[in-house]
Amino acid sequence: MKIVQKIKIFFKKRPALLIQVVIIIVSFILIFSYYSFFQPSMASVKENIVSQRRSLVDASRAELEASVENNIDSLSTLSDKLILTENELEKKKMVEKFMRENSLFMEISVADLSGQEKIRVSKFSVFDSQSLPNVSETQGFQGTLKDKTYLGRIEMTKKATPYFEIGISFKGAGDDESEVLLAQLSLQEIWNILSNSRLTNPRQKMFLVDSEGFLIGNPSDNSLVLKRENMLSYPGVRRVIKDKTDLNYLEYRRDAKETRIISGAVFNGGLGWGVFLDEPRKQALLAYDKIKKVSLIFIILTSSLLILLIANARELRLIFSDLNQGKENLDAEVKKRTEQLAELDKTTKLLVGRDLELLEANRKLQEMDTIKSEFVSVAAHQLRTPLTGIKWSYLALLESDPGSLTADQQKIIEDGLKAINHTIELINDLLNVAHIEEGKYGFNFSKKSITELIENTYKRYLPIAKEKGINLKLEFDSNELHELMIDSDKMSIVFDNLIDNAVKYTSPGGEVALSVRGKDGSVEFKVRDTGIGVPEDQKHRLFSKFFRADNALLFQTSGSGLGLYMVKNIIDRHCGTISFESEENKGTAVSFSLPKTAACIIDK
Amino acid sequence: MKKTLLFLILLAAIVIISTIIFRNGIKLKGLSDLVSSKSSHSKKYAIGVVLTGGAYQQAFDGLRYQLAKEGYNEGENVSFIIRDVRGDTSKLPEAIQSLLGENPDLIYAISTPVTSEVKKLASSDIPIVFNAVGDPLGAGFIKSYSRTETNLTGCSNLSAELSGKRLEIFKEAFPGIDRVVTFYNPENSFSTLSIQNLRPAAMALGINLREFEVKNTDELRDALAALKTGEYDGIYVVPDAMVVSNIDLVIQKSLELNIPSMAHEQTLMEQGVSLAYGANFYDLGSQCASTVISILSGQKPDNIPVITPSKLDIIVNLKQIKESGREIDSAITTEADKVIF
Repeated sequence: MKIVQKIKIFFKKRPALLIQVVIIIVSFILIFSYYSFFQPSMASVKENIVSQRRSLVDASRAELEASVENNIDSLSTLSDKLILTENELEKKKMVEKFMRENSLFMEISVADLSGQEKIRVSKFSVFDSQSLPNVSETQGFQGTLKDKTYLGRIEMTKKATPYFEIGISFKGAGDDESEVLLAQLSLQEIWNILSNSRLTNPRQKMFLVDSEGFLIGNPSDNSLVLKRENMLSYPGVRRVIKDKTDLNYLEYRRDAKETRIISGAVFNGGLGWGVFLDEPRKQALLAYDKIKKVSLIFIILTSSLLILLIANARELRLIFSDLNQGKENLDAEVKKRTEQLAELDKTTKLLVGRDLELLEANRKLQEMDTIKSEFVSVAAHQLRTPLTGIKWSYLALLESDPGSLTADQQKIIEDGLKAINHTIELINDLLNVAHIEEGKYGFNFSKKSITELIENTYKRYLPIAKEKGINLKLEFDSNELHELMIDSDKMSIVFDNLIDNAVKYTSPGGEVALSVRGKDGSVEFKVRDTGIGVPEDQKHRLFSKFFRADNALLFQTSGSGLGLYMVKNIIDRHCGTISFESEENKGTAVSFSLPKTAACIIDK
Repeated sequence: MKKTLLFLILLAAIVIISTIIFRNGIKLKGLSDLVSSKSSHSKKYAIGVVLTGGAYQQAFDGLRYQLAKEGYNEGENVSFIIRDVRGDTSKLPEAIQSLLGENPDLIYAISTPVTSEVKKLASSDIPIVFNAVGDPLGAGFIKSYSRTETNLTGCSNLSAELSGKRLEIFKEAFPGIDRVVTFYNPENSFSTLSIQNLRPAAMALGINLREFEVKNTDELRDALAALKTGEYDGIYVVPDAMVVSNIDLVIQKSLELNIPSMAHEQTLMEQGVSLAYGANFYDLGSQCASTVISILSGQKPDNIPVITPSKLDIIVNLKQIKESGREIDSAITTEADKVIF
């Protein structure tokens, strides 16, 4: 790792040198891959292709030569047997037997030195021994006399069966050459050998040409043989047949579209035949061309890269420099950001600390609030007891014999009683609020008719309203007795507060209406007045503790501001909802609804 | 900055192209396979085969064997749709019609009557490869042996051509026969051709040949009835369709007269003929495979020469000969290609 680091640092400082090294390496890859892989691969593949084709040609040649030689040998053996007898009938039988054993011989004749045939045996016909011809003028007879063993050209029977003539001269009973054996050998076996050549693809064609260049075997189309097609003009054929030289590989252009390759081998001995393998170059050299193509593309691309590197060496160096500069800038930026993050971390820690402090302060405030509530509760209790005593004393004074108090005294006591009642109400409200906040505001639910409760409240406030000149109305939507799960004492507080407020803040001549309407799952109540209303900017505080609107303070000096707070809490405990609509100097409508089912109340 | 971007794009392009080339390069792994892979005939060919059963089955077996040897394996790249009427030639039209409905790539028709019927029913577009046809030229199947100039080509068993040679072998097998009787329909050109080949051979062999011209079964029956014991030494069966179809009558007579019979086809050996000389149907079937392959490779039949048999068989029905109490030359039995015991 240390060496790698050192190299990195070394080149970091010398970008120009790095580019030069890269150019050298790319050049090396280019040269190395061409000479170590592409060139030997191409050479090897081509050599393989050529040698495979030559093997095919050589194998076919060997097989064909062996076939011809075997047949000549067989004929020689026959001639050796024929020497043994001078009886023509026996000789004929020997030939018949031979032909049955060697089915490719179509016809065999035996002639004397004058050319007169003495025996002629055919697979197909019968010849009268008395009328056999003289063959002294034939090429086969003369050739045999001349060379002892004669191999003739390819001929056709009337039935288009190709054959060639083999002639052998042999000794008679004496030592002199006395007889000539002429045999017609069918080319069928030669064709079979060619057909059975192990060609590697269907577009390969193997053909056989005789010493004069005539086609004598062409498995892909033997009709050309029957047409006596001369192949000397075919590329490579003349070279093999006339120069008697084997042909490893020759590329030639058959037409504008196709280039072909041909391999050929000449027969040893006197036959002078040639066997050839011909096929499209594209097919034969598929693998070679593919490697060539790939190597060409590789060389072009690598050379392009090299040229690009050389041509842009300066720019590349600048790019490296830019990159280095960029990296430095980036490092600086990272450092700066890290510092900023550290600062941010400090601030975050501070904020978390503040949050904890606030949580602590809030907890203390809640504690203080509880202490305050407990204090109010205790203080209110302590105040209410003596005040109740004073109230009863005042009532005893007022209910004493008339005449014991003067009119002024009675007035003073009545005013005092009023003040005490008002104070007791205030203390009751305070106690209720304290209980609500402490969670000690006990509820006692039971199924009761709320209709009755409303009517009682209505009756209680009717004289007060009348006295003030306010029209108090009670509206039911039906005669149904709405029985609900309620705490009737608490709900009395609700209705009392709402109607009391409505009456209190409505001027004489105005109207206060309490309406009840049954709905699907609930009962809706509404206390509507034509009073002073709630100023728009103070509406959000309507259900807050000790809230009294500015216009309310002017209109009515007394009031604790706790009524609606309690109302909301009681409605909430009854799983109800409360809302209001109000417009200053026009009136207020407070609506609340209570559920008909008790499930929510029980769950709470 | 623009130059840098351009350079990076170029570099990326080179990498992508190189990857593609490299991936193709991997395929070069099997170079030797590519160079030496043995080709296979990818298309599947359907060959219709029509035959009358019996020994003709061998002409089909030989073809099937040789085709498989050349890479045309049944079920892989070649299928045979076979219509074998089992000797009942009256069923040929129906069998050929049903075969044509299967759209074969070529029809391989075995024997002259089968080829005649196929030629009549099939369109001239479909190549027909005949086999075991004695005289395709005389039957009008081809214009010449080297160039057929029709949609037919195939393999001839040269049964007419061999008439003379057959008589020679008959004499060789039974040296004592000097008087031979034969029957032929003079209206059948093929029979006439056979007789023309037979006469010079008889003369050369010193055989007295008695020819009966019979135009129908009744005439044949009458001619056979006229034969007397000791009048003839052997019966020579000319490849005449009418005579061959009544071969049982001829054989019956030969047994009655206790004289041997000579015929041209292996099929007749099963009926009880004493001796036969002719093409080996199995070998001829193998020879015919090259014609079938040439046609499947796209060559037109009119340019493919007719193949003649490279192998001719002597078949001896030794069982029949022994039953009739006659002797056969031992050399013939030894050299025979097939002996029925």
